[in-house]
Amino acid sequence: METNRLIHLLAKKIGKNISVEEEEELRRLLKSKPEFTFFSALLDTVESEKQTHHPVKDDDLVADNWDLLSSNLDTDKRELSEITIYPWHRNKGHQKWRIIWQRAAVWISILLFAGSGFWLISDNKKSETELVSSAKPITRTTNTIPKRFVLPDGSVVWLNSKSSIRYVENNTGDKREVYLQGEAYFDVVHDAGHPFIVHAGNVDIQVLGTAFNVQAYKNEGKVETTLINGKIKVQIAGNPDKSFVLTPNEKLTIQMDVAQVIKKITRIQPDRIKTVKFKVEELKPPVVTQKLPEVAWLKDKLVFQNERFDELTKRLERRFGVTIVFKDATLKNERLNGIFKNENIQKALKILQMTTPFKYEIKGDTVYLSR
Amino acid sequence: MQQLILRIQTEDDQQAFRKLYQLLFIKLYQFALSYLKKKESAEEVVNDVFLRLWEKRHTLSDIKNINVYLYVAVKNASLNHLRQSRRSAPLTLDDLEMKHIRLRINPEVGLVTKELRLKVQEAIEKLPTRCKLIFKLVKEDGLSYKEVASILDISVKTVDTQLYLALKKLSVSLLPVWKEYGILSKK
Repeated sequence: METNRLIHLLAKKIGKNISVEEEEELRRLLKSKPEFTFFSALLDTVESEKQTHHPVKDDDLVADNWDLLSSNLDTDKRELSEITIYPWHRNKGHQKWRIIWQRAAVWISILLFAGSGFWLISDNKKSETELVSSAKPITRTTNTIPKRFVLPDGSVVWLNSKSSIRYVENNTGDKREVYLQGEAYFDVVHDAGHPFIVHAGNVDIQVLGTAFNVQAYKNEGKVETTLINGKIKVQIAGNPDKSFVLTPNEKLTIQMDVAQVIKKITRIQPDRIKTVKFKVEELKPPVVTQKLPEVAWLKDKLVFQNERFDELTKRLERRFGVTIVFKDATLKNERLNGIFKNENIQKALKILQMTTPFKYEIKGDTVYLSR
Repeated sequence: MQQLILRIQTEDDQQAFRKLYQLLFIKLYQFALSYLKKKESAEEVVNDVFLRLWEKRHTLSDIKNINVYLYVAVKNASLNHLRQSRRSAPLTLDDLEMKHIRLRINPEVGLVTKELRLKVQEAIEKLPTRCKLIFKLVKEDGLSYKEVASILDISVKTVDTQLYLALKKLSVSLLPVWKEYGILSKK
């Protein structure tokens, strides 16, 4: 039957297995049976159901899995991946490792940093480890390389640039306390008898576990805590009934609206807080710790996901030690994605220009952005 | 693609490897999904396959057809995965059937009416899985008859026949619908 022949030819066309003569024949047949033209058009639109409902998410899927894969491509990084994956990787052997983790927090954290942070310790000779004591309580970083400190109890703190911490020796000796302004990553030695407390902004973070990152820059008006491992309890100073317990890969953001700008590095008086908004998000880490945007700075990478341009520039200012001025305010709302590794400010700007059109002008230490 | 492979093999070029990965990941992932049900398993399987490919990068030129190689590797890895997760019960024939292909009409295409769209969707869903898989591999993944035949371990003739059968079944299911919508020419 002609219909069957037509269908067969259509099939061959779809399979791109059709000769020139057959195509001619197909054209003829379609003329005599026009309803099949409709059928043919219909077939063209058949596709497989999308796994993700968004074309952009397909790219994310590929990118996320690539990240996972690429960390295994260099064999010398393989040991690191094996060690770091255990504590929270998909319930595999989670229980077994938790005990070892608690006892050996310092040991594992050193390994983590030794592996992931080798650029900090072995390559960069300027980065020494500083011991912190109550005799020298205030520590500060102003340059762009994160600095490592060891507290008297053995806990390790990495301070990001333009940050400071103050270690307080507790007179009654029952607590371990630090005050933080800026951003730091903590790896705390577990000691149930002496709770470790970080005061950042108007937030108190009590450590019930091990490693977490806190971001509390004064001029940003918010405090972000990202937990990498263990458990922490976050409380709003002056509101003991408002507390949250974070488990790994949760990020708590606390927005603070204050009546006036507080210049000292102290806790913000509770009665000056107008509104405090909370949001607990679950983070989807693309891969192991170091790749969460919140702690990417540990590896000297600047990672940003769907970040507003004006937020990003604050980080760029810190990283490159420049001031960035928006000549065109509408640029501030643009959202950007990207990763910076070892670029200088010029390269970074050029990279950003590839996704968002803008012009820049560098005069001394200041960068001017315009359309 | 041949260029990429050359660079991977001779220069250990990770960027080239990444490009290859980006070209093929989604298709291989969907292929793995047709065997497995869980997305994470499919992701793992595909990554494993690529990792092994990287480990063999210095002998890549030995592979005649990278598409076939990768699809077959994914198929085998998927079946292995299934076998492992059901340690006690042996794999049944039913397990080996690719179960999870889903086809549909591109939603952005305007069809005459919603009912017509639904009817077409129904007709597509009624197709046997194997038909759907071959249709997808050929049309969407752009594999040739020969490649599909190698991957699924069937003959080229079978591929041809299956494709024909798929279309035939569709046309038969849709004939009454066309009549209803006056799409058939007045004879």
